[in-house]
Amino acid sequence: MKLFPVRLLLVAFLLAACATLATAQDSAVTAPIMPDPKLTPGDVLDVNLSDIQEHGYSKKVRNVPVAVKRQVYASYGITHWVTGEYEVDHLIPLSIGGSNSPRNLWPESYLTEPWNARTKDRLEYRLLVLVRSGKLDLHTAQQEIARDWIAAYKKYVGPDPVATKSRSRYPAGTGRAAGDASALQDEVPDTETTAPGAAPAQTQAAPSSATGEQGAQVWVNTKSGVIWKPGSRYYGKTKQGRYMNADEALKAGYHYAGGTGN
Amino acid sequence: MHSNQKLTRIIAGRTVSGTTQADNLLTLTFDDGSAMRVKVAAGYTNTAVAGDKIVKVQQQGTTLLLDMETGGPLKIDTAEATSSVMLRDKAGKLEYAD
Repeated sequence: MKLFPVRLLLVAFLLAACATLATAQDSAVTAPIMPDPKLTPGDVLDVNLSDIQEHGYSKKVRNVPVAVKRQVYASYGITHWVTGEYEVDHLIPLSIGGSNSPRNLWPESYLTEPWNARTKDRLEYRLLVLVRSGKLDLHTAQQEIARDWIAAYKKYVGPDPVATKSRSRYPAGTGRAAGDASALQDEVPDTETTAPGAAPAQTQAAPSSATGEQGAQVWVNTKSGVIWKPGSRYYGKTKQGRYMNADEALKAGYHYAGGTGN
Repeated sequence: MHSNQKLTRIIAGRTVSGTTQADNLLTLTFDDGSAMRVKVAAGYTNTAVAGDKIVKVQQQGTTLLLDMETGGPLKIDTAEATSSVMLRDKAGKLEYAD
């Protein structure tokens, strides 16, 4: 008899937890994929191509203050969110001169498919590569991603985004910037991985044709955007990732770890 | 008031050598040739004094506070909470932006 109230409390707790999860899923379904052009038209810093081409450029830019992130959530009418649900993202990425102004920030969902914050990261990285190499004008890149980032993705990355069931490793609203190309641009060692030798969380069978050459199968850390060749330290071993054709991986905007993938 | 550690690490120890304000753009130049441009709020009046050394930078909302070695802190009202401060070195190379 004494156990009855405890069991009742436990059942009530479980029901409340299920309700919270259901709310999070519902809000993810209705989350805005595109920013509101009135709230977030895009905004840039007074920087030029040589600034952006400088190694470590994005690290010179201040992190978005927590208060500004809260302001952005509020402006979009989002009062409650759960960890990993959104990223307060730069519409025009920091890496190609976007600013920290609220006019350049919006809560971008991690959960909508296929268009989400991770998908946009690939576009950001692709644009950075094109701009840095001089193949795309900086101003054009800024304008195109601000106008319609999905159209820009289809134009510069490819028509079919790869579905990404990944979540932020940073709690929402903590003030920790997460996931734009600025985090990728200076990456050489793959620091977002499990320890060497550890099994990947999402296990896939290694392809039998893996040779590490162009056109062969490589391992892509889908979180960091880094490509690992067969035999390299993190090949098939990162927490998030998948085997891909090397050409397709490069076309999608991924890049070789340390420039070689070895 | 929150400490702006990123900017403090770069600018602490530099001495203000001159200041100019044109409309809403305040420029502080330093003894090493670097220059910090700040978009200031409408109506802001510059009170920076040349010859003083920066010790620490604090920032919250639209207030940028430069703690100086001898004089009192220099309070600057920025145009926005972000995207208002840019520091370049003598050669024009970007050192900091917000």
